[in-house]
Amino acid sequence: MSQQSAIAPGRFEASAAPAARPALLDCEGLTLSFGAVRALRGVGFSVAAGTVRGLVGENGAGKSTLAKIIAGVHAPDSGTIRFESRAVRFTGAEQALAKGIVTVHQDINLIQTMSVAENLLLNNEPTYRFGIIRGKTMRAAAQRLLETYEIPVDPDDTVGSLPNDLKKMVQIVKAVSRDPRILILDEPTSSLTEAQVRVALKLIRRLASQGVGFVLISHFLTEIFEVCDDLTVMRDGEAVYDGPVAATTLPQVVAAMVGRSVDAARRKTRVGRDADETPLMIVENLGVPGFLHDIAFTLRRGEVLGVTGLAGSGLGELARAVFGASARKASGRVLIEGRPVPGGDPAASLAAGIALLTSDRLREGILPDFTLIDNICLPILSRLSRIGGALDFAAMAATTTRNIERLGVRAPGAFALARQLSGGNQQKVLFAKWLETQPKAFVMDEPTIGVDVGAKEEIRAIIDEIAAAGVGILLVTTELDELVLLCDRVLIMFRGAIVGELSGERVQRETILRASACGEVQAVDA
Amino acid sequence: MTTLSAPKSAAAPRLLASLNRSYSLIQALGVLLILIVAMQIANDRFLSPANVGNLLGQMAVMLIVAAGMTIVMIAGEFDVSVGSVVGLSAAGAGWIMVRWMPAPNADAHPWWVIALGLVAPLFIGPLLGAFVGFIVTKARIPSFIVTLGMLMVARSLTLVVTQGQPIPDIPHVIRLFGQGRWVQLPLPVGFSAYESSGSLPDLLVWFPIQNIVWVAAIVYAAGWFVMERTTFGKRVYAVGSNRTVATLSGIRADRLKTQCLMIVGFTASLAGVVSVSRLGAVSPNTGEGLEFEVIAAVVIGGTGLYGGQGKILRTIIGVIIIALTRNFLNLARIEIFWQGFATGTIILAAVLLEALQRRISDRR
Repeated sequence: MSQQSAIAPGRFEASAAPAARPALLDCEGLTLSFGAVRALRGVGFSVAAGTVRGLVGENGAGKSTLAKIIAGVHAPDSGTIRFESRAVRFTGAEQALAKGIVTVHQDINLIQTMSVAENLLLNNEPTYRFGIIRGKTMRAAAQRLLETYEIPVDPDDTVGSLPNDLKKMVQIVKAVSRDPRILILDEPTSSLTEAQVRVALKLIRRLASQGVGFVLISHFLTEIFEVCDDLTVMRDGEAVYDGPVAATTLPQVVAAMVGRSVDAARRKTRVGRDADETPLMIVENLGVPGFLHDIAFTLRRGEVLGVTGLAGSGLGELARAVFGASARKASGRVLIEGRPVPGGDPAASLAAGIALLTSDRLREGILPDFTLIDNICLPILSRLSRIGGALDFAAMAATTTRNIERLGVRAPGAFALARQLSGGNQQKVLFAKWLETQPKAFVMDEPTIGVDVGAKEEIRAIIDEIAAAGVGILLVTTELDELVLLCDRVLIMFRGAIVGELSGERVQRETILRASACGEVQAVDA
Repeated sequence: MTTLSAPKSAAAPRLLASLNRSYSLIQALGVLLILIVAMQIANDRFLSPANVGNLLGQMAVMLIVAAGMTIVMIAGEFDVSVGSVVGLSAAGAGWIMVRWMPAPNADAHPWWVIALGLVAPLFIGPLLGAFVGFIVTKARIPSFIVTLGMLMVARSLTLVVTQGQPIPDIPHVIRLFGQGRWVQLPLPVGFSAYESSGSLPDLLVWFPIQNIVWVAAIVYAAGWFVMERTTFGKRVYAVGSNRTVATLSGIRADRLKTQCLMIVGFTASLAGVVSVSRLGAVSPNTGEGLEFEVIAAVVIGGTGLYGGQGKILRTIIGVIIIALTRNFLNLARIEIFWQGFATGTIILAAVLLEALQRRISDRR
């Protein structure tokens, strides 16, 4: 795979010079804030018919927010959207759909139990009178669609039985069958293998040649360089590059995504690490069918081991599997201080000294209607009770208050409901919860996701402190700053496997981003 | 990208939260008060000692089952088999005490047969609950469906045990307890005395409370302690609120749910034995239809249909409201056929109200 040149050898031919075409969609000065967070700060964006515009940026740069504004999901606070030279204002996704702006979401949202034909023509079935479906006509229509785009699928196949790439194709064709003017593809290739990606890109190029305007959101930069005509690079809610792909190079794009090339946030070197001591945690050929393959690494006391990769590379799955909380049966084993931890049982993992901070705070972390006391004390109730399971409320309140003070949680008090707290403070509550279990190995999945900048700093300081106290930390994150600031070593994941490790001076934003986007760690370059 | 709520000042949300928390209680108590006043106006015999005594006795069985149902619903599960389990346990008790050993009459049985008849049926519910829990957690089938099957199985077994015939002549000791009123409490039911004398103290009457009501009271005291004051209760709330969070916190959710299903089974069995002692006989139809009245009572008491919230003591209010409606229909001499209509309407109203509240609090 080529990483260096701006135009990879396998590049598809762009249909025409992008500048010559009139913009199908033209946005100017879009801004949008969520509470205190300014997600977009005056973004200009345009797509011309028959071209593919790439949209790249780190997580939280504002890509999906921008895509959602175009698709009518969010209304911008200010700024203009012009569609076919006419100003539009969408107040809902249906309106954008009616104009022909269709989004293909990252998840495969097809009905798995229905056939391909039923899915393709869902809610658009050819009928006789009284809504009786014309089975043959429907099948033929589906067949025509599939043949047109050369998808090797039978209309009668059940979607659930198809491999991922074909599902993705069906999903794209379904979107195409709505006759879109603009097609927004959100990470279309993240669930596909290398060979499948080729086929998907070919389909995109082919549809573009028919006049559809594409917006391609992707973390895979090599793909962007292969298939796109134009490129928008976003960072911190702003478009930092807007121009033809041909006018830039992959290293330039990486630099634009990362921003300041001087790393202000230097990693502190931690002392007292003895290479000879037995590792705190050993993970041996951990695997989850379809998600993780043969994961192996070791973690030492007081070490912060980063794990990163693109969305869909299996980061969250790794965090859960190490904790024994994988949705599917995992293979391989985890050892703490040389002793194997029984698999598939979070309670056993906790008892062995592993803690897991999940990334989905609202669904898998906090209990919003419960008090801070209940949230923090949940895993340690047994420790806080007397004979017969009667709770020691004084001890529970004291534990909570101590943690609120220690971690600087801004809350009305221990009896406050978790829902009253801001995201950052909820996250600190979860830190308190897991720290109280006195973990030896602390697995953190995106510990600073969705919290504001100030809280991010505080949480990072907390992580540093925990490591200094001798806890081994597995920091699963896609935030480059976090990796650079906190980690001693960084493992790179790509499509469910660990493809490399960076340590020492090589833990840098550009190196990490390049390795994640390309799926390989390059040899030390000059 | 996640939206963030701006930091709020401390006092206002706390007040709001506490209001929000007690809102459903205030509401339920309000409905209850209105009902009582309306009934007293409609029929001045309503708050008479005889009627109140009647009411309490009728409520005891439903109260006991509703306590278990509240726990299982807080855990996020349902048990619709309770009516049949009440019936089967009652039948089991009656069969052991009356039919098991040949004797001229049940009072001639040795004491241990009667004791066995009291204790053995108490294991029926927990056993069936363990079985239901096993299927629910291992096969991942909704408890509503599994207990629906159990509803039919247990009812059929009840008919087998009783041979479809009532079992009369329960030993005298048992009736003595079940129909006895050994302890008195002052209750404001002396309306006639108050009206004739005009002095307020006359309103209070030393009122003998049925023994079986005390049984229900003990069940609620225990239930309150377990749910509010023990690790078990906290875990039940957590599992019902968010199973994933609970599991990741090291709580064995499957085991806990099974335990809850055993608890509701136990309360159903206890209720069955209590009903035997109260009526002094077993009917093959004992407990029929009770499950829906109980679930309705729990919901009216403010326990959600999706688990994780609810208070066991508030269920008492729900039971009273259901029992009052039935009593009102009796007193007002409305045909018994309307009873289901009235109860059903109340259930629908309660569920709608709950949905409405959920929507309002979601919007906030």
